[in-house]
Amino acid sequence: MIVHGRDEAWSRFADALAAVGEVDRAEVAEPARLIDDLGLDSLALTEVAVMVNTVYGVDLLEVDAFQDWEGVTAGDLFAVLPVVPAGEG
Amino acid sequence: MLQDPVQSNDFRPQPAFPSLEGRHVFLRPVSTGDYAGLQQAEIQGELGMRWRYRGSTPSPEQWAQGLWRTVLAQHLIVRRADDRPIGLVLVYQPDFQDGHAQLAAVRFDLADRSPRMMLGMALFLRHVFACWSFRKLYLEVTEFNYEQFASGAGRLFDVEGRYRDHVYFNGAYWDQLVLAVGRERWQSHGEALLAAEDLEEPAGTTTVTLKLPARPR
Repeated sequence: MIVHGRDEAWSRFADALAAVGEVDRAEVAEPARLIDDLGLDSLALTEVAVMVNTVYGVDLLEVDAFQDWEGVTAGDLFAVLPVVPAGEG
Repeated sequence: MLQDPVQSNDFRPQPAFPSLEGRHVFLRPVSTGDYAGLQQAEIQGELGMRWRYRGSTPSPEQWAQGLWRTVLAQHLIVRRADDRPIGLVLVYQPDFQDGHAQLAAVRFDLADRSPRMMLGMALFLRHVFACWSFRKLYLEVTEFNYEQFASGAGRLFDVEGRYRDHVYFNGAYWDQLVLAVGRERWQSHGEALLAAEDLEEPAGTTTVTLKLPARPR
């Protein structure tokens, strides 16, 4: 089983978020709002949700906190993810 | 000599029929029972100014005729959690000779940024490319609506045209963009949106395998 510390897990998630959202990795900090700060549009949010589902096995559309994506931060997303991506545990 | 595939039992494999059912949304054709709600959604509020009537109020009869004018297929995108329609998506003005058609889509709640609308559109695009041999689908979108999905340019679609200062709204003229969703581009990039959306079995369906008796020789 691969064990990741929180920092490493965050770094991996931030890398993936930057890649999927096509944003500068340096801008992806935990307080960064997906829409207002990172500039993700509806299509990019969908791609992020698909990435989280396929990589981490978490269905964000079933999480109550993400029924309205306004104001959701990168840290909010990270908080609901397992430290170990699906398939690596 | 040609071989009768029935007599030889040399059946071709069954094609994959793409589902209109997803985990979070499903598509259903528009029925007359939807008219009242659709008409209100289309001509009221901000959507009434952004969408096709752009502030005008057609009569109920004109509206109903306009709903189906040149339409090939039209579905409501319905949120599975509460069966509430969240959007409308359609393909119209098909040109079968040249292999293209027009695509349109509208989200009823403009403040809703949930991925469900995009997932519904993805289900619809897969359906259209499966049912008809279109090479590409054109989507005309006004500049101020484009920002909702601009990140897909060059990946999911191409911007093939731009009418400059084409649309008047609120004291300014806005560009009208012509986007094209090509079949290959959709299949190589777009279908990934449905990676986590497909149900193993569409809700309420049962798979039945029929084995026909061999034809008497």
